[in-house]
Amino acid sequence: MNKRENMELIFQHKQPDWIPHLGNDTYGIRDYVVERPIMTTGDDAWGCHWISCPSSLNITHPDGADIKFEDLENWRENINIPDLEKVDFTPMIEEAKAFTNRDEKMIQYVSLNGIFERTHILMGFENALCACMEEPEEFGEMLKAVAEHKIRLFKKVYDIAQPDILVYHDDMATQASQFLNTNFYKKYLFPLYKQIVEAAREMGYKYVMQHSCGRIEKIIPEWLECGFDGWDSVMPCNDLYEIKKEFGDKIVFMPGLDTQGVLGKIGSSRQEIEEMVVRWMNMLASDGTGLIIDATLAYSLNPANEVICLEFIKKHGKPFMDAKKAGIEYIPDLEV
Amino acid sequence: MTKIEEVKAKVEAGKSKLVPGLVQEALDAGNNPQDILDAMVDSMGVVGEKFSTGEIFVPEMLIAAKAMSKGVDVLKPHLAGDGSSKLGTCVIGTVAGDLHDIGKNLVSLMIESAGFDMVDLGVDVPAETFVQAIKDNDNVKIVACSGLLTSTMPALKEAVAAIKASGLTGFKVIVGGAPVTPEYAAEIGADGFAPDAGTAAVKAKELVA
Ligand code: B12
Repeated sequence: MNKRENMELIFQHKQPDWIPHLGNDTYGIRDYVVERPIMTTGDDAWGCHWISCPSSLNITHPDGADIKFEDLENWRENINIPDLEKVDFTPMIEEAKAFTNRDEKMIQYVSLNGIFERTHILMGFENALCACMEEPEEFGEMLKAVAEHKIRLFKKVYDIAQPDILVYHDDMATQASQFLNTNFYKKYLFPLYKQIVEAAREMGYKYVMQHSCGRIEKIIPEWLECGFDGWDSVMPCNDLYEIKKEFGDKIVFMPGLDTQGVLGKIGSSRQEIEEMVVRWMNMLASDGTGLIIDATLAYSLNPANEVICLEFIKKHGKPFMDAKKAGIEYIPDLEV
Repeated sequence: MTKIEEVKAKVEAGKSKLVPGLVQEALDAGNNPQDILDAMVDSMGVVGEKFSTGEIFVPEMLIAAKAMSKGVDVLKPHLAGDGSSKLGTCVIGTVAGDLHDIGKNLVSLMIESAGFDMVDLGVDVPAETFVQAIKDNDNVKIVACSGLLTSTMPALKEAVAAIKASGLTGFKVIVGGAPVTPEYAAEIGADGFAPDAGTAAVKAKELVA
């Protein structure tokens, strides 16, 4: 079985041959051309400024001093939605040339800065959150305009690289709770998410996942109705056992694992990391289905721990599934 | 409903356009400015509690704080004394290497609404800057340090250590942020911890009481 076939089984909620790692098992394409400069200070195609942070592995964050508007009075005049015809996609086209073994490996496209995230990059987070409450209708209009852009962008990227999987990033929550009340999601965000998912499928993306950090557990039922195939990030501030039990047949989980615990901590031992990975495999693939691991440096900020984690997944992803298929508990030989 | 009750209700509902007018009306009706202020502080207490229990979310809390601050603007000239608060000053910042400030800002808003004067040092604040701010400002009673990344938890520890080692006294240090636990707070020598902004304000008041 090749990596594509294995991944296909996961999206069909059947038992794969091994538990895959997203970065390892697929080709990846990102949209730094339009949405966010990566690892370097600069502007995105919206004209928003990003700063690379040396103490966080040079990962970029929006420049809080570069706000395009503070309230919604003149957002239409100030928003500057990128004209994709004028954007130079050459780097992405070049990158896609390396995807030579498409029959064997799927392509995933991680699209940063979803429609809600873009509003807070444009306005500043607090201004955006206040605007949601104070002028929801107008905020909704702005979200619509951003969603239309997203759909145009997804088409463009599809034409360039024909990805199989779209990972749509749009954080919905903090550690403690969702950013906004459920009604706001239902009325203003989810209808647009649904539109985005449907448009993406029509273009040819086979699977659409959403990345959201934080505690989203309370809105999962409504969120699922948007049509997503899976959830990326999957932080443990959610009751993940319960979510797997209740929605395991509908959600493919793509966790960044224990970013704020063992994986993020300096000085975690190899054994602690390995035990953590096995615990997560047992939790989210309790029946052997529905798990892709997406542990990345961008979440844990700890290169040494990530290396151990990846090595372990590569080595133990298959024996874990063999044990599942045999109906026995997987007890790996942990390296000390 | 009395004018003061109306102010209270509208602060809680985050009606920042209405609150200034209502505060003025409450003043015109002969209410004591301190009573009006206390009423607004109370309603922010309610807001903080609803946030802690998950009944409301970040935006509801933000607009309530915004409404209160608009009300306070109207009230300030009428308040007795030099306008500085009776609870003292709180120095707040996000520690070095960390740029997350939404949580820190909310904590700041809530501690301010509880009656402290705030000195906000912003994000990516080195340990020495916290120490300097304690020296530079009068009547510092609380120092609040925020950290949102596992990779900046050591910076949180350094900040607390530097503040404690400075020899300065008369204040308490509180810490918080997504990866911070009460155990970690105790381990690094902080005087207090709170899991969210509403509780942070309660904690700050408790520590100066
Ligand atoms: C929004 C966000 C961002 C925004 C921040 C915008 C801003 N202006 O602050 C942006 C996009 C810029 C960002 C950047 C990054 N982020 Co970020 N971010 C988040 C997210 C989704 C929410 C944080 C938030 O704002 N919460 C809202 C507030 C209200 O909650 P809060 O901060 O927890 O604060 C409350 C309490 O903790 C407490 N509190 C907070 N401070 C204090 C202080 C005191 C004294 C007290 C008593 C209480 C207290 O009260 C607050 C209010 O109730 C979290 C996810 C999460 N689970 O937290 C990730 C998260 C924190 N980010 C993460 C990462 C990795 C990053 C980046 C490195 C990379 C990236 N993903 O882009 C960069 C780092 C930049 C840097 N050097 O700091 C990781 C950290 C993992 C780890 N190893 O610890 C998280 C956990 C996401 C994840 N999947 O793992 N991020």
